[in-house]
Amino acid sequence: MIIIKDETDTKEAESYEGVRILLLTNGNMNGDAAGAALRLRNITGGKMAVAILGHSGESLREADATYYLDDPVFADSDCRASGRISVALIKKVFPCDYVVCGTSSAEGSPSSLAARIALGCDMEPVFNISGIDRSDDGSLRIIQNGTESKVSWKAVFSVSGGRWPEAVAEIREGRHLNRIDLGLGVFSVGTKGSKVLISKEVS
Amino acid sequence: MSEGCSGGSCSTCPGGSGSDGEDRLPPGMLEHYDLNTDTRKGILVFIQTEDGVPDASTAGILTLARNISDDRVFATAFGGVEIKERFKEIFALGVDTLYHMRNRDRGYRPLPWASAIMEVAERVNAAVLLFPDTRAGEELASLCAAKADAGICVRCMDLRMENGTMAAKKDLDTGTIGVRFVSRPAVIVASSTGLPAPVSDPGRKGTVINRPYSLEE
Repeated sequence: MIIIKDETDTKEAESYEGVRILLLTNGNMNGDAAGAALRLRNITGGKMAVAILGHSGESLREADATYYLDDPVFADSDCRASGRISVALIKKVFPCDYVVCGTSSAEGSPSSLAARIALGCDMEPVFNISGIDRSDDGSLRIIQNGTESKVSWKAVFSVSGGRWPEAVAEIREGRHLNRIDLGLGVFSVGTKGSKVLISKEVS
Repeated sequence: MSEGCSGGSCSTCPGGSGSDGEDRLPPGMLEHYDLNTDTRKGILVFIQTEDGVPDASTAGILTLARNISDDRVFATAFGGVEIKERFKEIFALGVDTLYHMRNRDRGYRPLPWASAIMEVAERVNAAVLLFPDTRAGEELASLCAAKADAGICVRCMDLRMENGTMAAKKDLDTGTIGVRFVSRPAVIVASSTGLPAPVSDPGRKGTVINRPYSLEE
Protein backbone atom coordinates (compact mmCIF):
# COMPACT_ATOMS: atom_id res chain seq x y z
CA MET A 1 0.00 0.00 0.00
CA ILE A 2 1.41 3.33 -1.01
CA ILE A 3 0.04 6.49 0.53
CA ILE A 4 1.18 9.74 -0.96
CA LYS A 5 0.57 13.11 0.56
CA ASP A 6 -0.75 15.33 -2.15
CA GLU A 7 -2.27 18.36 -0.44
CA THR A 8 -0.04 20.58 -2.49
CA ASP A 9 -1.16 18.83 -5.65
CA THR A 10 -4.81 19.26 -4.71
CA LYS A 11 -4.45 23.00 -4.21
CA GLU A 12 -2.55 23.30 -7.44
CA ALA A 13 -5.26 21.38 -9.33
CA GLU A 14 -8.00 23.53 -7.83
CA SER A 15 -6.28 26.73 -8.91
CA TYR A 16 -5.33 25.42 -12.36
CA GLU A 17 -6.88 27.48 -15.13
CA GLY A 18 -6.53 24.98 -17.96
CA VAL A 19 -8.65 21.93 -18.81
CA ARG A 20 -9.86 20.02 -15.77
CA ILE A 21 -11.16 16.48 -15.74
CA LEU A 22 -13.04 14.79 -12.91
CA LEU A 23 -13.35 11.03 -12.49
CA LEU A 24 -16.16 9.86 -10.21
CA THR A 25 -15.69 6.50 -8.58
CA ASN A 26 -16.57 4.50 -5.48
CA GLY A 27 -14.27 2.29 -3.43
CA ASN A 28 -13.47 0.07 -6.41
CA MET A 29 -11.91 1.65 -9.46
CA ASN A 30 -13.67 1.07 -12.79
CA GLY A 31 -10.86 0.30 -15.23
CA ASP A 32 -12.66 1.58 -18.34
CA ALA A 33 -13.68 4.87 -16.74
CA ALA A 34 -10.21 5.38 -15.28
CA GLY A 35 -8.66 4.72 -18.67
CA ALA A 36 -11.06 7.15 -20.34
CA ALA A 37 -10.23 9.86 -17.82
CA LEU A 38 -6.54 9.22 -18.34
CA ARG A 39 -6.97 9.42 -22.11
CA LEU A 40 -8.76 12.74 -21.72
CA ARG A 41 -5.95 14.04 -19.56
CA ASN A 42 -3.33 12.97 -22.07
CA ILE A 43 -5.20 14.50 -25.00
CA THR A 44 -6.00 17.82 -23.35
CA GLY A 45 -2.92 18.15 -21.18
CA GLY A 46 -5.10 19.17 -18.27
CA LYS A 47 -5.41 18.30 -14.60
CA MET A 48 -7.33 15.25 -13.45
CA ALA A 49 -9.01 14.81 -10.08
CA VAL A 50 -10.52 11.63 -8.70
CA ALA A 51 -13.58 11.92 -6.46
CA ILE A 52 -14.39 8.88 -4.37
CA LEU A 53 -17.89 8.47 -2.99
CA GLY A 54 -17.01 7.16 0.41
CA HIS A 55 -14.58 7.34 3.30
CA SER A 56 -11.81 5.44 1.58
CA GLY A 57 -10.98 3.79 -1.69
CA GLU A 58 -8.60 3.68 -4.58
CA SER A 59 -7.54 6.78 -6.45
CA LEU A 60 -5.15 6.84 -9.41
CA ARG A 61 -1.43 7.27 -9.46
CA GLU A 62 -1.87 9.72 -12.32
CA ALA A 63 -4.41 11.85 -10.44
CA ASP A 64 -3.48 15.42 -9.66
CA ALA A 65 -5.99 15.60 -6.82
CA THR A 66 -8.10 13.19 -4.80
CA TYR A 67 -11.31 13.93 -2.99
CA TYR A 68 -13.18 11.70 -0.56
CA LEU A 69 -16.87 12.54 -0.35
CA ASP A 70 -16.94 11.46 3.22
CA ASP A 71 -19.99 12.05 5.39
CA PRO A 72 -22.22 9.52 7.16
CA VAL A 73 -25.33 11.26 5.79
CA PHE A 74 -24.21 10.43 2.24
CA ALA A 75 -24.86 6.76 2.92
CA ASP A 76 -27.70 5.05 1.01
CA SER A 77 -27.99 7.92 -1.46
CA ASP A 78 -29.88 7.00 -4.59
CA CYS A 79 -29.03 8.32 -8.05
CA ARG A 80 -30.79 11.62 -7.37
CA ALA A 81 -28.95 12.27 -4.12
CA SER A 82 -25.64 11.06 -5.56
CA GLY A 83 -26.13 13.43 -8.45
CA ARG A 84 -26.64 16.32 -6.03
CA ILE A 85 -23.46 15.46 -4.21
CA SER A 86 -21.52 15.29 -7.46
CA VAL A 87 -22.98 18.55 -8.77
CA ALA A 88 -22.13 20.28 -5.49
CA LEU A 89 -18.56 19.03 -5.73
CA ILE A 90 -18.22 20.38 -9.25
CA LYS A 91 -19.81 23.74 -8.50
CA LYS A 92 -18.16 24.40 -5.17
CA VAL A 93 -14.81 22.66 -5.13
CA PHE A 94 -13.61 21.47 -8.53
CA PRO A 95 -15.29 23.16 -11.50
CA CYS A 96 -14.28 21.07 -14.45
CA ASP A 97 -14.66 20.75 -18.18
CA TYR A 98 -15.09 16.99 -18.45
CA VAL A 99 -16.55 14.47 -16.05
CA VAL A 100 -16.19 10.70 -16.38
CA CYS A 101 -18.73 8.69 -14.40
CA GLY A 102 -17.16 5.49 -13.21
CA THR A 103 -19.73 4.67 -10.59
CA SER A 104 -23.40 4.83 -9.83
CA SER A 105 -25.83 4.23 -7.02
CA ALA A 106 -26.98 0.65 -6.57
CA GLU A 107 -30.29 1.07 -8.38
CA GLY A 108 -28.99 3.30 -11.15
CA SER A 109 -26.22 3.20 -13.70
CA PRO A 110 -23.28 5.42 -14.68
CA SER A 111 -25.45 6.84 -17.45
CA SER A 112 -28.19 7.86 -15.03
CA LEU A 113 -25.64 9.60 -12.82
CA ALA A 114 -24.07 11.25 -15.86
CA ALA A 115 -27.46 12.62 -16.92
CA ARG A 116 -28.01 14.13 -13.46
CA ILE A 117 -24.63 15.81 -13.45
CA ALA A 118 -25.03 17.08 -17.00
CA LEU A 119 -28.34 18.77 -16.25
CA GLY A 120 -27.17 20.08 -12.91
CA CYS A 121 -23.98 21.59 -14.29
CA ASP A 122 -25.28 22.59 -17.73
CA MET A 123 -22.98 20.19 -19.54
CA GLU A 124 -23.58 17.85 -22.46
CA PRO A 125 -24.34 14.23 -21.52
CA VAL A 126 -22.49 11.70 -23.66
CA PHE A 127 -23.40 8.11 -22.94
CA ASN A 128 -21.58 4.83 -23.39
CA ILE A 129 -18.44 6.00 -25.16
CA SER A 130 -15.88 3.45 -26.24
CA GLY A 131 -13.18 5.78 -27.54
CA ILE A 132 -11.90 9.37 -27.36
CA ASP A 133 -9.56 11.03 -29.79
CA ARG A 134 -8.61 14.46 -31.01
CA SER A 135 -9.83 15.30 -34.49
CA ASP A 136 -7.83 17.23 -37.07
CA ASP A 137 -9.40 20.57 -36.16
CA GLY A 138 -8.43 20.13 -32.53
CA SER A 139 -11.87 19.27 -31.16
CA LEU A 140 -12.61 16.13 -29.20
CA ARG A 141 -13.97 13.18 -31.12
CA ILE A 142 -15.73 10.32 -29.38
CA ILE A 143 -16.85 6.87 -30.46
CA GLN A 144 -20.31 5.73 -29.45
CA ASN A 145 -21.79 2.46 -30.59
CA GLY A 146 -19.33 2.29 -33.46
CA THR A 147 -20.01 5.80 -34.75
CA GLU A 148 -17.81 8.86 -34.39
CA SER A 149 -19.02 12.28 -33.38
CA LYS A 150 -17.71 15.50 -31.92
CA VAL A 151 -18.35 16.59 -28.40
CA SER A 152 -18.84 20.08 -27.07
CA TRP A 153 -16.58 21.88 -24.69
CA LYS A 154 -18.13 20.74 -21.42
CA ALA A 155 -19.37 17.16 -21.29
CA VAL A 156 -20.16 14.35 -18.90
CA PHE A 157 -19.27 10.85 -20.06
CA SER A 158 -20.32 7.36 -19.18
CA VAL A 159 -18.09 4.61 -20.53
CA SER A 160 -18.97 1.28 -22.08
CA GLY A 161 -16.13 -0.95 -23.16
CA GLY A 162 -13.41 0.18 -25.53
CA ARG A 163 -9.64 0.15 -25.47
CA TRP A 164 -8.24 2.52 -22.91
CA PRO A 165 -4.82 3.19 -21.46
CA GLU A 166 -4.21 1.32 -18.28
CA ALA A 167 -4.47 3.50 -15.20
CA VAL A 168 -2.78 2.44 -11.98
CA ALA A 169 -5.09 2.38 -8.97
CA GLU A 170 -3.50 3.57 -5.77
CA ILE A 171 -4.51 4.61 -2.27
CA ARG A 172 -3.73 8.28 -1.82
CA GLU A 173 -4.11 10.97 0.76
CA GLY A 174 -6.77 13.35 -0.37
CA ARG A 175 -9.10 16.04 0.74
CA HIS A 176 -12.09 14.82 2.74
CA LEU A 177 -15.27 16.71 2.03
CA ASN A 178 -18.43 16.50 4.07
CA ARG A 179 -21.93 17.84 3.63
CA ILE A 180 -21.02 21.26 5.00
CA ASP A 181 -18.04 21.60 2.68
CA LEU A 182 -20.31 20.96 -0.27
CA GLY A 183 -23.07 23.27 0.95
CA LEU A 184 -25.68 20.52 1.06
CA GLY A 185 -28.61 20.27 3.40
CA VAL A 186 -29.50 17.12 5.30
CA PHE A 187 -32.60 16.67 3.19
CA SER A 188 -30.61 16.79 -0.05
CA VAL A 189 -28.62 13.62 0.48
CA GLY A 190 -28.82 10.12 1.87
CA THR A 191 -32.19 8.49 2.36
CA LYS A 192 -33.84 11.84 3.10
CA GLY A 193 -32.80 13.18 -0.27
CA SER A 194 -33.58 10.01 -2.19
CA LYS A 195 -36.64 9.13 -4.18
CA VAL A 196 -35.72 5.45 -4.28
CA LEU A 197 -35.15 3.49 -1.09
CA ILE A 198 -32.90 0.49 -1.28
CA SER A 199 -33.10 -2.52 1.00
CA LYS A 200 -29.85 -4.42 1.15
CA GLU A 201 -30.91 -8.04 1.16
CA VAL A 202 -33.90 -9.67 -0.39
CA SER A 203 -34.66 -13.32 0.25
CA MET B 1 -75.08 22.56 20.39
CA SER B 2 -78.46 21.21 19.27
CA GLU B 3 -79.32 17.53 19.48
CA GLY B 4 -78.07 15.49 16.51
CA CYS B 5 -75.72 18.22 15.42
CA SER B 6 -72.28 16.98 14.42
CA GLY B 7 -70.73 20.20 15.57
CA GLY B 8 -70.06 23.35 13.61
CA SER B 9 -72.62 22.49 10.95
CA CYS B 10 -75.37 24.90 11.65
CA SER B 11 -75.84 28.52 12.40
CA THR B 12 -76.64 27.85 16.07
CA CYS B 13 -73.30 26.20 16.71
CA PRO B 14 -70.45 28.33 17.91
CA GLY B 15 -67.95 28.63 15.08
CA GLY B 16 -70.39 26.89 12.74
CA SER B 17 -70.44 27.43 9.03
CA GLY B 18 -73.43 29.66 9.30
CA SER B 19 -71.66 32.04 11.63
CA ASP B 20 -68.32 31.99 9.81
CA GLY B 21 -68.42 32.82 6.10
CA GLU B 22 -64.78 31.88 5.41
CA ASP B 23 -64.92 28.10 5.91
CA ARG B 24 -67.49 26.73 3.47
CA LEU B 25 -66.30 23.12 3.43
CA PRO B 26 -68.52 20.43 4.96
CA PRO B 27 -67.38 19.49 8.43
CA GLY B 28 -64.74 16.77 8.51
CA MET B 29 -63.94 17.05 4.81
CA LEU B 30 -60.28 17.93 5.30
CA GLU B 31 -59.91 14.91 7.53
CA HIS B 32 -60.96 12.65 4.68
CA TYR B 33 -59.07 14.24 1.80
CA ASP B 34 -55.30 14.55 1.68
CA LEU B 35 -54.67 17.59 -0.48
CA ASN B 36 -51.04 16.56 -0.94
CA THR B 37 -51.88 13.25 -2.60
CA ASP B 38 -50.09 12.72 -5.87
CA THR B 39 -52.63 12.52 -8.67
CA ARG B 40 -50.33 10.84 -11.21
CA LYS B 41 -51.75 7.65 -12.67
CA GLY B 42 -51.03 5.24 -15.46
CA ILE B 43 -47.91 4.18 -17.25
CA LEU B 44 -46.10 5.73 -20.21
CA VAL B 45 -44.04 3.25 -22.21
CA PHE B 46 -41.29 4.09 -24.68
CA ILE B 47 -41.57 1.78 -27.68
CA GLN B 48 -38.23 1.48 -29.41
CA THR B 49 -38.41 0.85 -33.13
CA GLU B 50 -35.95 0.43 -35.94
CA ASP B 51 -37.25 1.05 -39.46
CA GLY B 52 -40.74 0.73 -38.05
CA VAL B 53 -40.12 -2.65 -36.38
CA PRO B 54 -40.58 -2.66 -32.58
CA ASP B 55 -37.74 -3.96 -30.49
CA ALA B 56 -37.92 -7.65 -29.49
CA SER B 57 -38.73 -6.77 -25.87
CA THR B 58 -41.67 -4.51 -26.76
CA ALA B 59 -44.36 -7.16 -26.42
CA GLY B 60 -43.14 -8.17 -22.97
CA ILE B 61 -42.76 -4.54 -21.84
CA LEU B 62 -46.29 -3.65 -22.92
CA THR B 63 -47.72 -6.74 -21.24
CA LEU B 64 -45.84 -5.80 -18.08
CA ALA B 65 -47.24 -2.28 -18.27
CA ARG B 66 -50.76 -3.60 -18.63
CA ASN B 67 -50.27 -5.92 -15.65
CA ILE B 68 -49.01 -3.30 -13.22
CA SER B 69 -50.89 -0.22 -14.38
CA ASP B 70 -53.39 1.33 -11.99
CA ASP B 71 -55.00 3.27 -14.83
CA ARG B 72 -54.40 3.62 -18.54
CA VAL B 73 -51.35 2.60 -20.56
CA PHE B 74 -49.84 5.23 -22.79
CA ALA B 75 -46.99 4.75 -25.22
CA THR B 76 -44.68 6.82 -27.39
CA ALA B 77 -43.22 5.64 -30.67
CA PHE B 78 -40.81 7.74 -32.72
CA GLY B 79 -40.79 7.35 -36.46
CA GLY B 80 -42.56 8.01 -39.72
CA VAL B 81 -45.42 6.43 -41.62
CA GLU B 82 -43.83 2.99 -41.28
CA ILE B 83 -45.05 2.92 -37.66
CA LYS B 84 -48.69 2.91 -38.79
CA GLU B 85 -48.47 -0.75 -39.76
CA ARG B 86 -47.77 -1.56 -36.12
CA PHE B 87 -50.71 0.27 -34.56
CA LYS B 88 -52.99 -2.78 -34.30
CA GLU B 89 -50.22 -4.87 -32.84
CA ILE B 90 -49.43 -2.20 -30.23
CA PHE B 91 -53.05 -1.77 -29.19
CA ALA B 92 -53.52 -5.54 -29.00
CA LEU B 93 -50.74 -5.66 -26.42
CA GLY B 94 -52.62 -3.32 -24.08
CA VAL B 95 -51.88 0.27 -25.06
CA ASP B 96 -54.81 2.65 -24.66
CA THR B 97 -53.31 5.75 -26.26
CA LEU B 98 -50.30 5.85 -28.55
CA TYR B 99 -48.41 9.07 -29.16
CA HIS B 100 -46.84 8.86 -32.60
CA MET B 101 -43.88 11.25 -32.34
CA ARG B 102 -43.16 12.84 -35.70
CA ASN B 103 -40.24 14.78 -37.08
CA ARG B 104 -38.66 14.93 -40.53
CA ASP B 105 -35.35 13.89 -39.05
CA ARG B 106 -35.94 10.34 -37.84
CA GLY B 107 -32.47 9.85 -36.42
CA TYR B 108 -32.06 9.05 -32.74
CA ARG B 109 -31.40 12.22 -30.72
CA PRO B 110 -31.29 11.57 -26.97
CA LEU B 111 -31.93 15.07 -25.64
CA PRO B 112 -34.80 16.10 -27.96
CA TRP B 113 -36.40 12.68 -27.64
CA ALA B 114 -36.23 12.82 -23.85
CA SER B 115 -37.76 16.30 -23.87
CA ALA B 116 -40.56 15.07 -26.12
CA ILE B 117 -41.23 12.06 -23.89
CA MET B 118 -41.33 14.27 -20.81
CA GLU B 119 -43.83 16.60 -22.47
CA VAL B 120 -46.12 13.65 -23.08
CA ALA B 121 -45.53 12.33 -19.55
CA GLU B 122 -46.57 15.67 -18.08
CA ARG B 123 -49.56 15.87 -20.38
CA VAL B 124 -50.90 12.45 -19.39
CA ASN B 125 -49.70 12.83 -15.79
CA ALA B 126 -48.10 9.40 -15.84
CA ALA B 127 -47.07 7.78 -12.58
CA VAL B 128 -44.52 5.44 -14.17
CA LEU B 129 -42.23 5.84 -17.17
CA LEU B 130 -41.21 2.46 -18.50
CA PHE B 131 -38.29 1.88 -20.85
CA PRO B 132 -36.82 -1.24 -22.48
CA ASP B 133 -33.42 -2.56 -21.51
CA THR B 134 -31.62 -1.24 -24.57
CA ARG B 135 -28.94 1.41 -25.07
CA ALA B 136 -31.48 4.01 -26.17
CA GLY B 137 -33.92 2.96 -23.44
CA GLU B 138 -31.35 3.46 -20.71
CA GLU B 139 -30.13 6.77 -22.09
CA LEU B 140 -33.63 8.17 -22.47
CA ALA B 141 -34.67 6.90 -19.05
CA SER B 142 -31.61 8.58 -17.50
CA LEU B 143 -32.40 11.89 -19.16
CA CYS B 144 -36.10 11.72 -18.30
CA ALA B 145 -35.36 10.96 -14.67
CA ALA B 146 -32.94 13.88 -14.51
CA LYS B 147 -35.41 16.26 -16.16
CA ALA B 148 -38.25 15.17 -13.89
CA ASP B 149 -36.00 14.99 -10.80
CA ALA B 150 -37.48 11.52 -10.37
CA GLY B 151 -36.20 8.26 -8.97
CA ILE B 152 -34.84 5.73 -11.43
CA CYS B 153 -34.11 2.03 -11.38
CA VAL B 154 -32.10 0.49 -14.20
CA ARG B 155 -32.49 -3.18 -15.09
CA CYS B 156 -34.96 -4.16 -12.38
CA MET B 157 -37.28 -7.13 -12.19
CA ASP B 158 -40.38 -8.23 -10.34
CA LEU B 159 -42.10 -4.89 -10.77
CA ARG B 160 -45.21 -4.53 -8.68
CA MET B 161 -47.40 -1.98 -6.97
CA GLU B 162 -47.29 -2.21 -3.20
CA ASN B 163 -49.35 0.10 -1.00
CA GLY B 164 -49.57 2.64 -3.80
CA THR B 165 -45.83 2.73 -4.52
CA MET B 166 -43.74 0.95 -7.13
CA ALA B 167 -41.45 -1.77 -5.85
CA ALA B 168 -38.95 -3.96 -7.66
CA LYS B 169 -35.82 -6.05 -7.31
CA LYS B 170 -32.45 -5.70 -8.92
CA ASP B 171 -29.63 -8.21 -9.25
CA LEU B 172 -26.15 -6.94 -8.49
CA ASP B 173 -22.85 -8.76 -8.38
CA THR B 174 -23.07 -8.66 -4.58
CA GLY B 175 -26.62 -10.00 -4.39
CA THR B 176 -30.20 -8.89 -4.91
CA ILE B 177 -31.52 -5.59 -3.60
CA GLY B 178 -35.06 -4.42 -3.07
CA VAL B 179 -36.07 -1.07 -4.51
CA ARG B 180 -39.01 1.09 -3.52
CA PHE B 181 -40.00 4.39 -5.09
CA VAL B 182 -41.20 6.91 -2.53
CA SER B 183 -42.57 9.41 -5.03
CA ARG B 184 -43.95 9.68 -8.53
CA PRO B 185 -43.17 9.56 -11.32
CA ALA B 186 -41.01 6.48 -11.19
CA VAL B 187 -38.62 5.95 -14.09
CA ILE B 188 -37.92 2.29 -14.75
CA VAL B 189 -35.75 0.37 -17.18
CA ALA B 190 -37.20 -3.13 -17.02
CA SER B 191 -34.71 -5.95 -17.31
CA SER B 192 -35.22 -7.99 -20.47
CA THR B 193 -35.00 -11.15 -18.36
CA GLY B 194 -38.12 -11.79 -16.33
CA LEU B 195 -40.55 -10.00 -18.64
CA PRO B 196 -43.98 -11.66 -18.71
CA ALA B 197 -45.08 -13.72 -21.68
CA PRO B 198 -46.82 -11.38 -24.13
CA VAL B 199 -50.60 -11.34 -24.00
CA SER B 200 -52.30 -10.06 -27.12
CA ASP B 201 -55.96 -9.23 -27.67
CA PRO B 202 -56.41 -8.67 -31.43
CA GLY B 203 -59.84 -7.11 -30.98
CA ARG B 204 -58.56 -4.39 -28.70
CA LYS B 205 -58.65 -0.82 -29.94
CA GLY B 206 -56.91 2.38 -28.98
CA THR B 207 -56.31 6.00 -29.85
CA VAL B 208 -53.43 7.39 -31.88
CA ILE B 209 -52.29 10.97 -31.41
CA ASN B 210 -49.83 12.39 -33.92
CA ARG B 211 -47.44 14.59 -32.01
CA PRO B 212 -44.70 16.56 -33.75
CA TYR B 213 -41.65 17.27 -31.66
CA SER B 214 -38.78 19.72 -31.98
CA LEU B 215 -35.10 18.88 -32.27
CA GLU B 216 -34.13 22.02 -30.36
CA GLU B 217 -32.72 21.10 -26.95
